[in-house]
Amino acid sequence: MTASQTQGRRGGQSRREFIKLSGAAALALSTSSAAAFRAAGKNRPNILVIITDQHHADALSCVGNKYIQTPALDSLAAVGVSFRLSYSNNPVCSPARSALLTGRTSRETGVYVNGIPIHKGIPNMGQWLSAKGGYEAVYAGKWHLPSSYSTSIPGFRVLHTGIGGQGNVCDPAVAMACDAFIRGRKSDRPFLMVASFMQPHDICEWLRLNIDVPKRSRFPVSADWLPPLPANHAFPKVEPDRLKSTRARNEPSRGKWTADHWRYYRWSYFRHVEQVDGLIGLLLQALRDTGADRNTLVVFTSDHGEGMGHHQMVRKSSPYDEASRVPLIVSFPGRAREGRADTRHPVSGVDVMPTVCDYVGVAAPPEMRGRSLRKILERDVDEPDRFTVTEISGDTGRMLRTRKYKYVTYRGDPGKQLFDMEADPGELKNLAEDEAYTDVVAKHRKLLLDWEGELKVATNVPKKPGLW
Amino acid sequence: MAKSKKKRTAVGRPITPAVLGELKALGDWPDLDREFSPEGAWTHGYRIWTCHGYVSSGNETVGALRLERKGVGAGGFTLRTRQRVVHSGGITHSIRAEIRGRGDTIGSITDWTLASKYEGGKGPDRADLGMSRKGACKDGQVTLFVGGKTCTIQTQRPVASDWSLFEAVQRMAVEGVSPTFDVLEHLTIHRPYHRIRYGGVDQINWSGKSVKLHHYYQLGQGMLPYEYWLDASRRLVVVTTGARAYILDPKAHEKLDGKTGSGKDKRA
Repeated sequence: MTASQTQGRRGGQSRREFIKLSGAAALALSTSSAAAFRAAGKNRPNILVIITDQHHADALSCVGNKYIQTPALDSLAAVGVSFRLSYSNNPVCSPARSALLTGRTSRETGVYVNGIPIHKGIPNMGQWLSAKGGYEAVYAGKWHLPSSYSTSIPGFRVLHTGIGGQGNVCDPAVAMACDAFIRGRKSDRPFLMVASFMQPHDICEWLRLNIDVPKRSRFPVSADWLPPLPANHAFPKVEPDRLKSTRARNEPSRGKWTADHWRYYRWSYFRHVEQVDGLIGLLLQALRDTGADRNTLVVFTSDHGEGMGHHQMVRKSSPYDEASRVPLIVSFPGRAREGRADTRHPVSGVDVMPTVCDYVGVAAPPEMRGRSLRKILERDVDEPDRFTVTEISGDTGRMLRTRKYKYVTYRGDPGKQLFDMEADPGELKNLAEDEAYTDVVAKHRKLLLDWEGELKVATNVPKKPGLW
Repeated sequence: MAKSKKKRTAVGRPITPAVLGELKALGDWPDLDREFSPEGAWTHGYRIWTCHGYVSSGNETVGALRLERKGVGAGGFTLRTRQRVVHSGGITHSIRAEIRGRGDTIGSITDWTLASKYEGGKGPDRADLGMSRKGACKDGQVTLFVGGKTCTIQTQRPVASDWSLFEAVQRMAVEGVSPTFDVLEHLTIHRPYHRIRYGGVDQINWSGKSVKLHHYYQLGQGMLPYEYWLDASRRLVVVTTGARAYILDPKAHEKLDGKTGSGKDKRA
């Protein structure tokens, strides 16, 4: 490959690749007229995609967590399907968002680390649904492709932006803008709204403000309320070096956290989640008040999880479930099942785009890496062949999740991981070196290699050896 | 690969007036020589300052809050609030509210109006995002009126708002503990089961002046703890919650004029 073909981080793909990858998308986006948009939008449902940032999959009261109260998301789960094995395509902000909003993997979108735009040849949900489905597409809140916030997002009208790292300040403004839009809307076109909240990401600021263990409890009265340490607060003896170094760099190691400080961190994290839950409630109330709830497909998910003390981790980036598994709730009154939890299908952010397209009656863009969840949403079906692949930021590793196992490989690191997620959901016993699991490892490795062979990786992603 | 970030020093400790002083966020000690009575008529201005968690990067004033209190017979009050926050791309979100409340420990609110609007920033005009709300609290029920619709919230506890608590805490007894109450954040979002407790005295240096501050803290569902610091005359001078601080500054709104927000916010 020549230097001109590589074009650097932001250059993305070559012209030839652009045409090849995006022919159908570009054609659709350029030939539609405003009148055709409106006609195309008749009788289609509204779409509301709600995204939180850094939301641990179990930080919801509706999944049995008694240390948090999330009445708004509980109400959504009560009328929808909660996917309990939902994974981020890449447990870091920008890459995960690029996959969620395009249905392509983060390396295909070119967003293999934070702060890179989606490759121009790949349409996002707003571009696609406004061009092909006649949708009025609006966006509020965090974008991060590349800037955290932008007044200009391809395919969307930007209702509101936000303030980096300050969900506590900007999320109410995001919610109030979305609320006003839903209530004040007079158009007969269906809408696609992405409401992208910053919280509970403010836990990152909290971590930097709470490295030191206080001599006495900051709020003595709260001592009895602190949640316990997670059952998997320990970590496996055999781990890839990258995970060990991440743990060693983070605030708890630097501050030599006590058990009580870990518990206080978990208590604080839950308050961050509750904060955004109340704002989500504002949007759901607006849908109910306007009657739009009867014809709106609601998707709630997050870009990635939060360490929350599992494996003594904080923040994101790791393939462990605390960082890579995310909440995913889909509701569509009268169409999708209500109050169900799907605990057997590994699904991913890349499944959202094909699911939305399936429901609105628009062909999905070419080369979707996910699959529509519609059958699972509507019937008690079994799709045993479903698996998900999570890419690790910087193209440093992969995680493959099948129904029973999780397989992890890091570039240049002989320390592979295999976990039996049914017998060991806390991921504490690494089976990768156990001879009894040689065939399982080989099967998962092949599945991953076959998957990799299908991808059309953007040329701005550096090619590096040593992953296998 | 991404550009390597310069090594930055984390603050390491929660935001308190002392830490705000170290971070040079307090500014000058405001001119507070006038007589102050929490029960009387007063106007406070606050800078809304946010911390990114580092000592010397990402910390900034993003908004301003003004509270204007007037006493209304039998210990009650009206509180006019104006909050402006400048977001990325220069979009300013403004809220004006008028709240009526009782003179009880938490200044429980009885009825209110709120208007919200968005101005500035690139792209289509945002006038359609303006919104007005009304609300009332009576007999254990909050009723919210918006866009011709009514929403009710049942609560058996008194209700305060995040802004009205700025008023109430100034009237709380030293070493006092409030009854359990609910918060209606921004007069809109219900946050139940809160209490405010006295936390003791902090002695700090505020731009060369040694100041004794009374500390209160508020815990409850749906919000990070709020902490309040009052001077000797019971004037609320600093409020913190998470990475955000309200710092008493009579010229806060004037200082915000001209601020355009980060054009391209690269902070996650």
